[in-house]
Amino acid sequence: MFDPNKKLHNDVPAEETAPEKKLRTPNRRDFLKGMAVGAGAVALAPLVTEQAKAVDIDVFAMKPSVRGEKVVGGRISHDPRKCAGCRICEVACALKNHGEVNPFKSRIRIYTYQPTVFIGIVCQQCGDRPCISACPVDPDKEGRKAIFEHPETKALTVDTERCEKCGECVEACNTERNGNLRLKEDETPDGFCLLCGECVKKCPQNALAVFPRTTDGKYASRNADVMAKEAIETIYGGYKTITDNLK
Amino acid sequence: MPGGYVGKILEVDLTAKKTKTVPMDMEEAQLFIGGRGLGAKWLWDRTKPGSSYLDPDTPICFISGPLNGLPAPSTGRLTIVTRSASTFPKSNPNTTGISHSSVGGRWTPELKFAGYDALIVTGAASGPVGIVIENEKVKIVPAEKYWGMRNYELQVALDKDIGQLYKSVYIGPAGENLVRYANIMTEVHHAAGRGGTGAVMGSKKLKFVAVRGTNAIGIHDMKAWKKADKQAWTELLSSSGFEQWRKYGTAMVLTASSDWGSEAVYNFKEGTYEHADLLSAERAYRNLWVGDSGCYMCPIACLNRGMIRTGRFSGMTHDGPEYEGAMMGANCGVKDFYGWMANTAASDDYGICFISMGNIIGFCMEAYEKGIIKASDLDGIELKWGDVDAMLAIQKKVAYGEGCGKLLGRNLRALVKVWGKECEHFAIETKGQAWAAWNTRSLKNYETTYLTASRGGDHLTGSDIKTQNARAMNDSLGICLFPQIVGLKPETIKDLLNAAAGYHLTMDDYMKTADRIYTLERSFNMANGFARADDTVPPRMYKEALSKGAAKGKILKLDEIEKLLDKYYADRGWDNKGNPTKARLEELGLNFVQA
Ligand code: SF4
Ligand code: SF4
Repeated sequence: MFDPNKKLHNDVPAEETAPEKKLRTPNRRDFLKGMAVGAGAVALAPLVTEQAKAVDIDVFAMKPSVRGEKVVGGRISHDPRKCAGCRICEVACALKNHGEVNPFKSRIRIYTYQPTVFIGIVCQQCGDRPCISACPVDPDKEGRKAIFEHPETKALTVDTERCEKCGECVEACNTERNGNLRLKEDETPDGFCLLCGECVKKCPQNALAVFPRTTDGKYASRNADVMAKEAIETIYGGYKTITDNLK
Repeated sequence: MPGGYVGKILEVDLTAKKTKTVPMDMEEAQLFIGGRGLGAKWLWDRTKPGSSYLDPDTPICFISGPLNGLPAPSTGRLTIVTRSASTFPKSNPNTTGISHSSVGGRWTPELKFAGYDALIVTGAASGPVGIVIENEKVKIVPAEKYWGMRNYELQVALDKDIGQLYKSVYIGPAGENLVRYANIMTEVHHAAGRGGTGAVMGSKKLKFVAVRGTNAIGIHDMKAWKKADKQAWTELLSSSGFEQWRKYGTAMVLTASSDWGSEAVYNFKEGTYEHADLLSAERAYRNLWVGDSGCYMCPIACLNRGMIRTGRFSGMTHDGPEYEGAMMGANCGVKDFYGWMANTAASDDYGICFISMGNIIGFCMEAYEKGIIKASDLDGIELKWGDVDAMLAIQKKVAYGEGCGKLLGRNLRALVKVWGKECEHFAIETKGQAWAAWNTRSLKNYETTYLTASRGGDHLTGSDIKTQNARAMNDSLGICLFPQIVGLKPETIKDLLNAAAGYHLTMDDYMKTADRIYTLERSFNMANGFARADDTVPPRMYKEALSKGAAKGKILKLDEIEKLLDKYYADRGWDNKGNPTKARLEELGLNFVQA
């Protein structure tokens, strides 16, 4: 007799579950290795040509931008004109980073709006880091708070042991940015992207890419409602709802 | 615990306002898989022969399959199984057959993430209600506010009131008004169209079911899964048709079908449309579409988001055209491209199945042309071939059950009864179900699908037993049938199932399971008064040859149809009346059927 209450994801063999690291971000070597493997992934081979290039960008070796800003780190960018809303990215992220088929745990989330547009919300690694500023934990000798920038990948990282579970970073992300940062069951923050590139590799519509991150995340990291409004204006400028049209 | 399934069924009784969770019977699941298969079993168990689809005891089952939600291609299909509102036997118009209606979108995976393999709704509420599910929290909420809303505004309202991350299935005004070909929609554009499931939902006063889940779906053998999954994606993405499917969706065959002489044109009179170029995918690609839109886990994304940017329908958004849109186009003699789009968008918005609607409008147009009916029979609407405004007016009447819409919202047989025997010749239906846009005269053996489909005039069942079986499995597993048409092999799907659920099915077992499902559906129909006499094609198909195009002169022959049926029954292990034999039932493990 099977037990309906048994947690299902335990069925996933142990080695398939992402190892629980103290630093929940891979180091730079993992990062680049992961990308190289991705570019050659057989399963999606016919599709990846364009996006493989995007993934292969070594964001750390990038030259200063035209305006002379120094480019540090990357971010995942989503294009609502191309996205078909398949949620392959969500599942890929959850599977890779949590070892579960459970989009709820994905760091990227796809929201659907009408007239149909799909908005992908993922940590934009804002250069000015309102989340880090909000963290009340005292910096350690490397100058890191409980939530901090990974020294190599520049991706947002949490030190769950020093985290005080106050939710200030989540609050900051929710009020000032796209709100992708959220509290897990154990009340430590979750939802930050570690730039593994898995979602970019798996997207069949080439709607995702690694972009250099911006110094100020205010534009790139707006919430889904605002992004949707802009996307709808761009894609369906001047639309009328079907209902209005058939009055 | 085998993976694939999440192990629970949610039952909601709207009369008693009670909900309960029961564990899934895993033995039954292994025999009938899920979706269409389990649905047939549950409908057999839970309905009395001869009862009506409007009976509150009739369950409406929203069933996922073991592959739903998993990271294989196109695993977002939901199958809704209930008593059909549109398939009924000649012997007894008061009862109906089985309906299994499949729809894409993102609802079913969400149901599984919430922890349920299926939702079964019985009873009927006294006033409009909705069901809101978030993991183990299940609420029956009042829905007066939403009653009467059309699908687009309903989706927007639900997004606002319940939340962006909830996915919903719902009915429009047509379902509320019990139109017998009303559909159930999800996310505005995805329709569980055939079989009038919307009317069943409407009779229960159930406006919507919103669901959100935060749990995982397990996979039994991850190593085997990865192997099969890689194979599946490779087969699909490397097949030659893939890019074309992705670019155009099913609309790509609109003009091709006209060339072959297999389109529904002027109420199935012809198979080739002289204005096919006006209603083509290429035109839509250039003038309408703004991007792709797909279902859960689907790389094909056969839907296309679009907007009309010129003319009097300017500003209208929709997801067409797709091939079956031909029912509203060529079948009604439409030349106005944008008016055609407006009509299909209107159907989706009202929650009407546009296949049936287009068929019935085409029928009325022919009756009007022949002078059998006059404008006064249609509340003053002059229903001439290709008049898109008249079509819009008719649709509105049907959706709201006003005036002539009451009669038109029933079915072709009801119309023939009122308008006279002479209409029978061009009433294009099988088992009461209006045909879809494939005109069989020019396609070899294609009539098999219309003759033998358990839900009547249905183009998706498949035109030989092998295809029918493979597709029955798709509908039961929760994986879309298009990847299979593009290049995904049934063998690979079987491997995926084995890996996900921990089964050890061979290809023979897999096909036998499909046989079991198909035969049970047949048994359900036979127990409800269907007979060999119901496996027919309309007289136009064997009395009137196609007169134009590549298929000129093609016609079906009655004696060949009879021969085809004899062979089909024999191959299926049914007797020559179309009843599954005792030996066959026993072989398939359907012993309960005789009892
Ligand atoms: S880059 Fe990796 S962690 Fe970030 S959203 Fe994509 S899959 Fe998830
Ligand atoms: S995988 Fe790509 S197309 Fe699919 S939902 Fe994600 S971003 Fe959109």
